[in-house]
Amino acid sequence: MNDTPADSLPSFKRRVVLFPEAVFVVNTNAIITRLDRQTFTMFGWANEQEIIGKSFYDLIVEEDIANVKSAFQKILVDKNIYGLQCNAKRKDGSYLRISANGSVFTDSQGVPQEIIIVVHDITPHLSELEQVREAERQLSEAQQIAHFGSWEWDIVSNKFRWTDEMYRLFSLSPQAEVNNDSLMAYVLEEDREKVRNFLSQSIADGSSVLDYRFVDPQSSAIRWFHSRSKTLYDGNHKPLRMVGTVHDVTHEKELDQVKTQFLSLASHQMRGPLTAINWNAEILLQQQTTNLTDTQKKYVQELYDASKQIVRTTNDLLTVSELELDRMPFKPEKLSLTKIAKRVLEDYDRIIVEKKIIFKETYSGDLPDIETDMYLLKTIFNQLISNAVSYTPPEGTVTMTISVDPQRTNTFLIAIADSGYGIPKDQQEKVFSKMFRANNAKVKVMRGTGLGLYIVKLILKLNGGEIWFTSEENKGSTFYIALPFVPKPQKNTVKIGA
Amino acid sequence: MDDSNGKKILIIEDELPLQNAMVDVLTQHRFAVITANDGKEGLEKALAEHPTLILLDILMPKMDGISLLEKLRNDTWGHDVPVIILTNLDPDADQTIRNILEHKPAFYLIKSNVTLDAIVTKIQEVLNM
Repeated sequence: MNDTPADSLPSFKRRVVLFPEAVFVVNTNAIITRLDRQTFTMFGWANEQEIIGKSFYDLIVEEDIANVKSAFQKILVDKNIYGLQCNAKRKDGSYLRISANGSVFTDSQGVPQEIIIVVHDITPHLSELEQVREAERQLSEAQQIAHFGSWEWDIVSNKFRWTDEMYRLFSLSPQAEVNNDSLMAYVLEEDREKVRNFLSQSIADGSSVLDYRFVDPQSSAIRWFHSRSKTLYDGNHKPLRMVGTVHDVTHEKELDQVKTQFLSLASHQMRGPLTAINWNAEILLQQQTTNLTDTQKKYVQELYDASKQIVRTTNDLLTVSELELDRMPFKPEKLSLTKIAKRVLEDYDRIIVEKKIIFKETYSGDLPDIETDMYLLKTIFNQLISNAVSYTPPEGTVTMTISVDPQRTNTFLIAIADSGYGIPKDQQEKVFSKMFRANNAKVKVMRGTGLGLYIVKLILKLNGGEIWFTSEENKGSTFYIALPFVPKPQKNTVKIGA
Repeated sequence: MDDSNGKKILIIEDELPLQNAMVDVLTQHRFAVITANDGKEGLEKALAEHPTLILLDILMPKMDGISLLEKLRNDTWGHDVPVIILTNLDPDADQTIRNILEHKPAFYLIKSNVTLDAIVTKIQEVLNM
């Protein structure tokens, strides 16, 4: 084995061509000097010229080069046969897995001259590897285009695994250390509690969703991230891992804000002409000024009523845009829930008497004061009472209850139950959406704008409260509101151009 | 001509349909009425004619209602004249509007939400009629 000089190699090659291995001869610098025809088939070369003079390492995939180099050194130094398995690249860039064994040939003084490397193609494992590599590459590209990163948190060992896009989203170098505490420093201060709650909720409930703001460490620009997570548990429901995604939605939030500002502007513009219609209709209807016939007055009244409906809708649209743009002023003061409820109820005395509705009030004694904005609180009561009274037929019953919520800490529970038309089951999930009015409501009651409950829901969201209901068609509905003793306004706007 | 009740109202409003409707109704209630179509004209007429009460719009060309009110309150007579703001801007929708309240208008009314009748009632209230 040790004494074969270079020129006796051809006979060696002749013998070896019968075997399915490929044989390379390389010099002590790993430069390929000779090779047999099997290597052409294995690696896809047309002829020797394509590869002679190149380094053997050029054929090896990057991650495995270090191992091959160290094996090479072992062969040179220890003068033993040495082999390993690794991944190699064909001429067309596709991968193959090889088993390579090398042994050194020395001269009569024992100085290494060249190394023969015998290569077996053991690729059956490789198509999987290639597929995985290719899938990873495509995923990384897709994530980069979409500004969408995915992450994995090993809860037990507190280790994080991030895709490339995550580092880009957070403006961190791919070598940066990542853990929950270091990341919290980049979250906008007002949103940190929400992020903490997002993580603990994900562990408790199994999944969670959150929009929060991130402050770019380089530029200090604020970006909106939409984050989702899923927790994986062991058999004893111990949390093991959390996987999730982060999506940069700053652009979407900005567009949304622009749309809302446009809505606000358009609604404002409409008020002038609407005022002109209303005032002129009002003058026309004054008997002493215009002497209209009863028929004429009827038509003018229709115009006037329709115009007032538009005014109500534009008012609601303006309220919605102010809430969504976080321009609704919030001036907290200590208020008695019961007093405010009674005050709002007074506006409905006339219609309650007209419709002969039985309105019952049950207020707990000893209720603490609530600390919130009076206008917003009145809006909530107004909408609930208005709905209950409007959608209950004559001689029906409405009951309003205010108490401390037994199931939540430091929270009021307001309930308003009516014996009215109810909400059909198939429409119930849309009740809080914009411009929604149930089919049966539209038939029975002309006035609604379809925005009232959406506004109440927005007000409550901004204050940490909740609203829900139960309802049965033709039996009635009960709406519930949970309001913290001290509602905390949560801002949700983005400043454009930050 | 002079079956007026002796009270002179200055209407400062740039939208003519609205201005005309107010003139008609106030005249009907026997107020003497003068008008201005923009803030500059409004301030001039106020200081020249010393009306009993001013109905003031906010969004106007040449000078907006807030600037007018500020200048008005700096005048000795203007300091105390009753002003009812009639606008279609939401209160507090604009930071500047909060500043108006510093200059003490008697009332702030949103035109699209009030009837002419209600405006007359307010005027009568403010003037203790």
